[in-house]
Amino acid sequence: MPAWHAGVVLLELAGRHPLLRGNLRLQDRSRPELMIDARHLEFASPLDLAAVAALTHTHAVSGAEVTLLLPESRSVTSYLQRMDLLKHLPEEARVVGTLPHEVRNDHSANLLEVTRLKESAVGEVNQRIGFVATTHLGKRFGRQAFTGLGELIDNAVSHGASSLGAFITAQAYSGKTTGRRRLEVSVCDTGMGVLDHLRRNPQHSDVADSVQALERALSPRVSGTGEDRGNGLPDVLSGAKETAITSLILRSGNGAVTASHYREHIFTAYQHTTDRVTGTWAWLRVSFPA
Amino acid sequence: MKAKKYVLTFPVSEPGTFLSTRGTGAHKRSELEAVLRSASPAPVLEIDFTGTEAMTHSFVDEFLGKFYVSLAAGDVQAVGVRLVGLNEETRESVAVCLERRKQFAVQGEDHTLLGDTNVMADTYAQARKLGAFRAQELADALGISVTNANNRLKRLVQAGALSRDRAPGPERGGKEFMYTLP
Repeated sequence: MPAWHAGVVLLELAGRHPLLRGNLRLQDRSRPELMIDARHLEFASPLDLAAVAALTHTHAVSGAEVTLLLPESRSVTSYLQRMDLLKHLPEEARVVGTLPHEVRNDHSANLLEVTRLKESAVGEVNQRIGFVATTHLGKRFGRQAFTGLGELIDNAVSHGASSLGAFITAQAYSGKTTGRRRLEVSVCDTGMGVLDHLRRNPQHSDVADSVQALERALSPRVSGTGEDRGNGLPDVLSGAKETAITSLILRSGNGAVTASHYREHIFTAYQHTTDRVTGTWAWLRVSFPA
Repeated sequence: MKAKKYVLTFPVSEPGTFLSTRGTGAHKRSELEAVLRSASPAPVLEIDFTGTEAMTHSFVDEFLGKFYVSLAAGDVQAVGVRLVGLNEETRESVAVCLERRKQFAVQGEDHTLLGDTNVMADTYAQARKLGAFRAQELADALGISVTNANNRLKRLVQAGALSRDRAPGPERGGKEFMYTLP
């Protein structure tokens, strides 16, 4: 068992899809070391993967040592490996634990590995995500799903740009246990975040904090640019609303929002978070009848 | 003998393509406008979406929404513009985008309007029945004033739904136009 001294920044990833449960707790934020303890991780969602990639890079660039403690579960470690998370950690990151021998089958119809998202990679990422969506959800539902989730890609490359880039990953679920075919996509960027982006537009310079910024960003025709646009985030939720339950989690700065959309039913909950996220983390799930 | 119109087809993408981002839309619009500027005489432009599986509203807005702004401003010239090859989902994306911008476009296969079609759909349908006509004839057919007909015709010309040429001889003095289908 690795030993870490008191005072390192610790992110504990435990149980099933921990970041979807909102429990991002970075302990002792002042120290220049990031320890991600995934030993008790039982199931990783796309958000867990993309967020860890973004988080480790934002810490590494500020000189922090980064350590990942691999899951004790062999299958979960295999999954992190197969999803290329380990390849996308900063070069100097330390990985502690046993890596199983990797058997790499083609799962391009089911998933998109953790991928660095840059403007130049958009075309290829679109094709991969579109292929997963239409293979799993069928032509009609898959196209609808892409119409919404493609806006997340746009947001990350247009507003979340930074030298570290953004990270995207996706996973399709067959619905054998839940009765619904699902596609989950997460895009985590390392850019300026929603608050600073909105404040660039004098019309929104009054936005007080990240929660208020997220509230505005989810309203139609609100943009950090001077142009009459700003439907991207609302369109993320409405792309497949007539046929699918669409759920969105956004974290930026110290704000978070959980939103669901299905036909005329809309649920939205905002909250202030203890720990700040650099950039914007987004997770989207579209869920269709199996 | 009526001169044959020159139809320029602009394929939007390769088969099986998914399109997103404003950057991609802006790039695609630049390509389209460059092709159109180098075309002589001004063609009937057919924007062909065949093979495009899905596209985000932001892509459509940057590509098509802004293209129609350029067209209305006269920055690019076309005798007519029509969209072809849309599937159910891409048609929806185009309709949403144009509606938000209070624009409309002609769908080539069935000659219907997509987008902000309020009032204009009936006007365009009547224009298609008339074929070649002056504003007064359209006003009479729709039971509206000539001023109103002229306003609607101006929008239809700007969207590339109709062509407009100076009429052979003014009947009541002043300039008069003949409208035709591109």
